[in-house]
Amino acid sequence: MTFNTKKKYCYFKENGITVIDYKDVKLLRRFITDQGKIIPRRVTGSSAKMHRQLVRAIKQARNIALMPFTNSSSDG
Amino acid sequence: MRYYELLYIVNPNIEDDKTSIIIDEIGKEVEKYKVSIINHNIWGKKRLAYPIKNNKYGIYILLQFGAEQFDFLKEFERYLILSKLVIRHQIVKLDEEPAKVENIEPIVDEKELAENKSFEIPEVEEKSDVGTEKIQDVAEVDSTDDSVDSEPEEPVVEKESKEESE
Repeated sequence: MTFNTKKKYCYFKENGITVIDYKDVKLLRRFITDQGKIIPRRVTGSSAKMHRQLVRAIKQARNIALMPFTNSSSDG
Repeated sequence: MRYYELLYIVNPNIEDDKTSIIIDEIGKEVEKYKVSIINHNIWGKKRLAYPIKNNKYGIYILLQFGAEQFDFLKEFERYLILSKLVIRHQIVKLDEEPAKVENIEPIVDEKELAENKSFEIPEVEEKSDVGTEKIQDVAEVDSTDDSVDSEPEEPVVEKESKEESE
């Protein structure tokens, strides 16, 4: 049995991002799944502080139709 | 002084000349409340992530302003809801004063722009565009692989292929 020992890093800390803007869809897309769900912090490795900002930004982007709520197959 | 940002979507079925009229109207409406407008720019026609009132596309317009009084927002939002051409709006409070932008570079990712083009002009040019896009994407994935798990990256590529097939 092998364990994944690769260490996770906060993407925002690595790249020196301190403020997440809801209009920056290219950045936010990294943190949602195929279905449009927000990827949990335990997977992405982002810090709690930045994850809170991220979640807020994604929800704002969804509200103004920059990002999808869902990506189910019925959506066209 | 507090600073706010309003992003609103205008019905895409109106003529091009009328967008400037709407911008003027909304600009005047905000100025009634003794507000200083900092930026008021068109992002352009974009594909919506989901249909709003049966519209697949929308014209995004960004308005940033500073205000001394704060009680007018409810009234202003009501105006936006009642106006028939604005199909969706969102007001967000900003932490800092926004920088003034003369000719706004739309904060739209290139993929979506290319998509829009391909929808409007389905010609030979489209193919070359798609090819270059893919290469860029692969490069992005490679560069970010160390910092983020590969999982979040995969869906982006998959999505693209779906949309292309459409």
